[in-house]
This record gives sequence, structure tokens and C-alpha cells, in this order.
Amino acid sequence: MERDVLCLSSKNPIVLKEKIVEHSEFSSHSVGRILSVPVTEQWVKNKGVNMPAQLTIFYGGAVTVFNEITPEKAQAIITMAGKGAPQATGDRAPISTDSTNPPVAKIDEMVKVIPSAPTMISSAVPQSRKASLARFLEKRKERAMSAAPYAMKKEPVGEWGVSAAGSSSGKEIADDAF
Amino acid sequence: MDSGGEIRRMRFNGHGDDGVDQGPATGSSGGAYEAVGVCLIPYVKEARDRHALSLVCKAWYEIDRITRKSVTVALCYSVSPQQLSRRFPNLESLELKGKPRSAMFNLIPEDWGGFVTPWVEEIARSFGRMKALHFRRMIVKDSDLRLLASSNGKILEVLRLDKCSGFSTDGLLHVARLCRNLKSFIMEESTLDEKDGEWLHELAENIIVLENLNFYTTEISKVKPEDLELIARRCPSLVSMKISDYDLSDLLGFFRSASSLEEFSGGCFREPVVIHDEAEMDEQLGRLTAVVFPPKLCRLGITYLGNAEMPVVYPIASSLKKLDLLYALLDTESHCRLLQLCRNLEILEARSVIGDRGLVTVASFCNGIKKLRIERGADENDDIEDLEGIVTQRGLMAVAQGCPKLEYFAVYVTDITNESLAHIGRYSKELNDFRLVLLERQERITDLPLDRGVRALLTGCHKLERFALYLRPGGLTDIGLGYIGHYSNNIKWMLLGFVGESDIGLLEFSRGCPRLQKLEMRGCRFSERAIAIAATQLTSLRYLWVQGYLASGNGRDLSPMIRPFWNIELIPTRQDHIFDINGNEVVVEHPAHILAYYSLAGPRGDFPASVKLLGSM
Repeated sequence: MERDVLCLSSKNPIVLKEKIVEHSEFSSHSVGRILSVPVTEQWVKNKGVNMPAQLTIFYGGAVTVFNEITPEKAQAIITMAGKGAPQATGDRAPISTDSTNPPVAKIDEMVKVIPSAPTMISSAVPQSRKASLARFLEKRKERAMSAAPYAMKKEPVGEWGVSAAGSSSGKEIADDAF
Repeated sequence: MDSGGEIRRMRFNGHGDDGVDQGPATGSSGGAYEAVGVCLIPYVKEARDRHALSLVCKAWYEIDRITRKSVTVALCYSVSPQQLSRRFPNLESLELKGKPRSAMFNLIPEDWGGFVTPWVEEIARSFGRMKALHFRRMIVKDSDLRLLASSNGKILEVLRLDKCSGFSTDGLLHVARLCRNLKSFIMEESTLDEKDGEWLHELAENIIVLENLNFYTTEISKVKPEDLELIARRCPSLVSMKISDYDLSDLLGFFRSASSLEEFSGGCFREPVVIHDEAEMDEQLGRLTAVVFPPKLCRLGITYLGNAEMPVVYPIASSLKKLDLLYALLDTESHCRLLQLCRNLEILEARSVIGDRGLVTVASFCNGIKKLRIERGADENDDIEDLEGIVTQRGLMAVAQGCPKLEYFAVYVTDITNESLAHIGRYSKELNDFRLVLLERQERITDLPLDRGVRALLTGCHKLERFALYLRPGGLTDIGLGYIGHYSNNIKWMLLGFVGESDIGLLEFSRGCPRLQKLEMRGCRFSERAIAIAATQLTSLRYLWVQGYLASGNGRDLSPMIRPFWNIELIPTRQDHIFDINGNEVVVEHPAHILAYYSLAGPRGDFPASVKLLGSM
């Protein structure tokens, strides 16, 4: 999966990121990239290969995500945003210009054009967990794996009406914490 | 010599302990003031009151200085050990905090700082009466423990290594050998190098006054259950034992011997047995019924407590005052069943798997609850604990109405409304500490922004001193942020995450909060310049931590807050190279931090390469 990055004005930077579905003609392997964003903090998204065609727009510190964007639509957005920036090339390498502020009105217009519902997600500072709880939840996973390594399948119920996972209350395996 | 003698000596020759002439100000009326001071001040324990008394006159300053027994240094770099020993030479109890609080969330580099070494050296040199120490989020080495044990070991009664790191069981061995008067030995959630279980054996052999032993949420695994039982037998005052994951079946002897025990946490149940037949089921039941808790036990937490093992708690459920389910493996239904029985509960800690239904149960049956902490459970899509296991406005409103004695409420919610916050403002009049985190799990939140609700909560809960609000973009407008500033008359600590919209909100906020001493902010869209200006406008601010802001890269826009005695540290954006589950190298970016604090000790010299110091004194 390839990611193309186009980075415009340094004052209110917009980064348009395009995710093409896994059968892309550009690449067959997953590549982790750093997205370079002047002024605001840098961050990386690496969610694995099976993502739907998703478009993420960073603008003025807020992030909007659109699902199910076709490559053509994405390209149209990139082209529209790139108009006015001297080096709009659509290359893979991030490009930083410090000249043009893309007209805000045009961006609003673009956002309205996209039909799918936007998903607000938090920005580059992900919610973190308390270390003690994070360790516990890891151990919990390990216990679940060792107690029931084939946990995705429904466990056979023994003679006494108790499932093979031992101390379950008879619920579905997915609800078993172990 | 006792401090009374020192005070009498001081009065006689009019000099302070360090020979400073008290001067004519302590003339004829000074005698009366001193007499009052001598009689009164030693009985005043509260630090704020002591501070006020010490400002009245030089004589009272001196009396306070000589008789002050206990000090908390909220950040170990705000004062040097020597400054502390000069000011309060007769301290008996000291609490020091090192790394920023966000270190508990793995956000601070391990080598950031917070070394106890210079403090332990000063304690050995100058604090001959020191008998209670509490180090929180600091780096403690074996050599520090050895020095401490040899210098103050004879009188040391309390040693608390709270979320510390850097030591090994060798260091604990020094303490166990030399500190015969130790009553409290705590290393909860510390990271240590475990070489063996010798230290616990030494402890069991040497100490008979132990009341409180705690190595909960550590990875300690080499101590012997027999040594725990030995401690229980030899220490009749043992009141609290919190341990790591040891099977309860191995602790039966311990429970039989610990007749004074009131608090137990840790222990665990072995991996669930595969039950093939009735004999194995009987064995499982036998294991549960064999666990007989000591008669006074009223504070309990069992690690990996599962739905089928829960009945082990039933016999004592109604006498429980504190229940820790943070590391249990119960589903929502089990939480409800258990909590119905806990009518006298005052403190409950659980994960969000408790669900709204569990909180409604608490509201119905546990009306005396004073402290309620609902932590974030497993909420990743592939690892959800229970479909019912989410907390929303429904649970909040139930708790507010059903638990009027609530003083501390920390909760991770999946959904929220203004009305639920207003409910808390209306009913939770005793609330002193409120923390709300809105999880990212649900896309659409019923009711945002939360401006009205936050205002209602702050105006209603006038005893609030600690406040955390962690939302998402759109969660609180600039106006709402202004409300927080305006209506936070008593709040001393605040954590704000993803609140406000722009610098305007921050500047309006900073015109209020008259008592705010410590401010943490994360993910807010404020510029460096606005942060710096806000810091100067908050009149009581002495500590500021920010991560996730509009950084300039080198902190140059922070110049408005450069001022004497204000240390400014930056942890610039860092990159961690880790490998994801596919084996691909991933670069994880850690956004920059600002840490700023008042200090009498000047900029510190022990910072690692990842930290940059700014500004000048």
C-alpha cells in the first residue's frame, strides 16, 4: 500500500493522504512512512494492509476522515488543493512550500462535496493507557491464549455442561476474559 | 536534643538556631508572641497552616522551622536537599515526587530524571530524625537503599518506593537487614530487578513490628509463600498485605496466621482448570471453599478473579469497605451480582467492564461510596471485554443521585451528555476530585460540546480541588474553557485534554483559576505563545506540563514566560523505532512536551539528552 503525501502552506498546512486499497499497482508491500507536517507535530499512521479506501484531511489542527473514497475522487481533491501551490507534483516525497495559503473557501467547498459522513478522530496525541493496566491487559490476553488457543471457535461443551475453558459461565467464548 | 529544648534556648538568647539575631522586633511584645508560638505551633500539622504561621514574625518562622516534622516536595527539582535541611533540620517525614505524572502512562523517557541519590545523601548527612520516606516516580538505586539503611535504618519506620525504578532485590536486602523498626514497606508498581526472594526471608526473620507490606503490581515472583506466613505469624500488628501474583491456594497458611489483617490485594487464581468430570469440579470448588479470609478483612482485591471464582468473596462481601476489581476478570453481570452484596463499600476500583448496569447497582446498593474509580478496560475491537461493558451518561447520573457521599470520582466514558454533568453538580456536593475521560471508541457522542454541563458541575461542586477533563476536538468550545477558568475557585490541580478551540479559550481560562497550582494539558490546539502567556496569568501556578500543542520546534515562542526561578524544560518530539505485528519497522512519533516549574534550586544538571533546558534564571 502506497501513501502519497502533498504538503502545502507552512502556516496552515494541509496534508492530503491517499490510501489505495491493497491491490494497488504501485506497490505490493506495506511501507511505514513519516508524514512531515511543519508547525504541528509529526505522526505516523500504520494500520495494516486491510484498510478501506480512506481519505484523511489534516487542517488547522482538526482531522477529518472520509471512508470509501475512490482513487479518482482523491486525485481530484489533491489536484484542487494543489492549484496555486508552485510545486504540486503528487510525488511520493512530502513537499513543503512556504508560499501559498490555499483559499479556505475552496477547502470548505471540497469538504461539502464529499458525500460520506466525516468521522472525527483525535489528532496526533493518542489516548494512552495507564502502564499498570496496559500490562494487566497484556497478561490477560496471554492467559486467554494459553487457556483457549483456538478461542475464535466455539468451545465444545463437556459432559457436565461446562465448556472446556473451565471457569466460564457458559457464555460465548468471545465474552470469556480467559 | 529535643526541639522543645532548642526553642527554650532560642528564647533565652534571642537567636535563632542558626545564630541569626532576632533583633529588636522580638522585644517586649515578642516574648508573648513567642510563648504563644511555642505552645501552639508544634500542634499545627497542616502544611498550609504552618506556612501561614511562619509568615507572622521571625520568631514564629523559627519555631515552625525547628518543629516542622513533615514536608511534601511536589517536584524534587523545586528545591535542593541542602536548602531543605537548612530550612527544616528536624524533619521526620519526607515525601518526594520525581517524574511528571504522565510517566504513569509511559509518556516520559525512563531516564528523564528524579534521582533520589542527592536526597538520600543529605538525609544521611543532616536529617538524623528522618523516619518516614515516600519516593514517588523516582529512580532509586541499590546504593541509595544501602546508604539509607545504614544511616537511618535504626529509626526508619516507613519506606515507600511508589512507582519507582532502578533498584534490585539486593537493595531490599539491605533494608530488610538493618531496618528493624520498619512498620511500612511499600514498593507498589515499582520496576525492579528481581534476583531472589532472600529479602523477604530476611524481613520475616528480623522484623516483628511490620504493619504494612506491599509489592502489588510488581513482577516479584521469587519470594516464598512460607515467608509470607512467617511474617504473619511473627507480626501481630500486620494490617495490610498487598502482593504480586501468588496463587491463593498457597496462601491458606498465611490467611490463617494473619489474624489482624484488614487489607489484602494481589494473590490470584491459577489458570482455569479444564474440567472433565465431577471429581475435577469438586476439586475446583474445594479450592475456593478452602480460602478463609481473616476475620477483620475489609479491603480486598484479587487478581484474575473470574466469574466462577467470585463466590470466594461472598462470605465477606457485606463487610467490605474497599474492593479492587481493576485486575479481576469479571463480566458486567458478575460485577452486578457481587456489588449487590457490598452494602458497606466506601472505595471501589474497577474497569469500564462494570458498565452502566454495574454503576446503577452501585447507586442502588452502595450508597456510602466515597471513592469511585472506573479505569479504561480493553476496548480494542478484537479484545472487547463485554458488550455491556461501557460507561455512559446513564451510569454517571445514577451514581450522582445514589451516592451523595462521593468525594472522588474518576471515570472513562464512551458517551456523555451535558445533563449528566449537571446531575453531578446538583447531587455530588462532597466531590473533591473529579476526572472524566471521553474514550475514542464511539464516533458520535450524544451531546457535545459540554460547555453547559461543565459549568453546572463546577458551580455545583464547590469543594472541588482536583479536576480532569479529557475530551476530543469539539468537546468543549472556547467559551466552555472560559467557564472552567471562571468557576474553578478552589481547584489546585487540573488536567485538560482536547478542550477549547483556540488560544482565545486558553487566555480566557487563564484569567481565572485563582488557586490553580499544577496544570497539565494534552492535545489542545494552543500555540506556544498563548501557553506562555497563560502561564504568567495564572497567579498560583507553580507547575505546568503540556504535550500536543502547536510547537515551534525549539520553544522560542515560550519566551513570554521566562522569568526568575521558573525552570523551563522541553522534551522535543521524539521518534521510537519499533516493529509492528507484521514485522515492519514503524516509526512512532512522541509529540513534544513542555515542563515548567518554580524552583529555588536553579536549572537541574542531571537531565538526559532527550531533555532541553530553556530560559534563564
